[in-house]
Amino acid sequence: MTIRTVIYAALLAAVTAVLAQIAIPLPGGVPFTLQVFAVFLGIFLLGKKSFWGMVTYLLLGAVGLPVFAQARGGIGVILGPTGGYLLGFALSGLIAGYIVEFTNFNLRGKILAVVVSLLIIYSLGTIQLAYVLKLPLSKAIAVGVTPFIPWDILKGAIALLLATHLQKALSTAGVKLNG
Amino acid sequence: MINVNTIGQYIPGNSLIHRLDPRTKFFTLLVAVFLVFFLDNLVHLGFLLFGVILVTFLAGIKPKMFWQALKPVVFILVLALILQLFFTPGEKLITIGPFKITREGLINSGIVFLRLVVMLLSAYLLTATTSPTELTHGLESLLKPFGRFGLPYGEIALMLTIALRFIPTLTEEAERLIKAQESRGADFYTRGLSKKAQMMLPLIIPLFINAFKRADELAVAMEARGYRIGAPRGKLKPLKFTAKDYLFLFLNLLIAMLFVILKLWGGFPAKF
Repeated sequence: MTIRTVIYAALLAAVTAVLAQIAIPLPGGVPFTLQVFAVFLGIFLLGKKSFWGMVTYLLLGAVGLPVFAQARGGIGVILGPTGGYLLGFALSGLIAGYIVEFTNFNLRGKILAVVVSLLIIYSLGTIQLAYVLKLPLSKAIAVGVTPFIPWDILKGAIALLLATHLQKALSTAGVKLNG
Repeated sequence: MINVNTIGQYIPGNSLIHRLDPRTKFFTLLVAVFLVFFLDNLVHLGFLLFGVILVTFLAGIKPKMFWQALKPVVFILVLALILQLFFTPGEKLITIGPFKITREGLINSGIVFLRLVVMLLSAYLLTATTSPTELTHGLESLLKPFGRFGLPYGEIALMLTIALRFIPTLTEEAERLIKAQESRGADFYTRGLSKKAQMMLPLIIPLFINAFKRADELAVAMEARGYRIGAPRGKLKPLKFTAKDYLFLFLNLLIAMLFVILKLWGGFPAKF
């Protein structure tokens, strides 16, 4: 690992921690946090490096900082019913990050990366939810996946839009992330 | 507003549990989590809960703080208990309208409840009695043996330290950005979805740009001062095992063994 990887990953973790605390109330009552944007943007901008960013983010939570959504923190959150989704962030950072790097950061690769990371996050999330709460898989999916699919696809689309703006702005600012 | 306090759940103190080496406490948590999923008997899990409560008193943590540990999962816990209670097939006990409560449902919901409470309390105990810095050092030291398999334990600790350092800075920056946008008439709280998406643009983009600019500057500064990844480094406060750590570790193994024997033997209210 190079110094740059270490520092970019650390800053990605810090940005994710901050964005997870910004919640926009939706008409339905479900708070809309910006956490997932940080996950997607990390993958789009940093590729595989975002894996270490997400690992750091999870460890920040594990050492007790209230960095997860709704200011939650502690190892209990990671081991608890919804921890699988968080572990999914790290794994998708690795796999979707690889896809993005392999396709040379082009749009098609990024769209594929969104789909793959959502699949990873849902799978790990559902398995842990079902295991910790002793629920059958079908019930875990009905509670933990189905209601969120439309929102997550929307968030993925917005993240793609943001990434294009960000890349332009970063090159104007003279910051080279992958070079 | 946004608030990410960087001492986290830590409650400063000088109890026996506070003074244990962070590695001892990590190991204790591992044992507790193993037992939580290994045991599937209400009475055994009850014993475990008693043990965790005992440690909580040793740590001088007030019972009202338990809420702090359980708050994150209350909603999902209640949901799971309802699902378990009413939808587990088995021997009928009570019928309320169209719903049936079964013996199996009752036992299952009890197990799920005890498991989550024990797990969350023990995880909370670790972070309540150990500061994030201590935990980072403990983690680094525990991961060290995996270094030979290619695990970059030193870099992981460094990433944690840098992230800890930058969270307050970025929090402040995000607040400033929100205020700046609001003073220009941005409304983060109402209107339609597409408007909300537009609102996020002038918040997320500058936040990311600033973060990566700072990262760039820090990287240049560290390289210029000759920072080398993986170079041997000393600690300001080295971790040290003392007699009480060895005693605690021994008790851990003893308790874990007792529980394993209890389960394999199958006795002592085996009905639950």
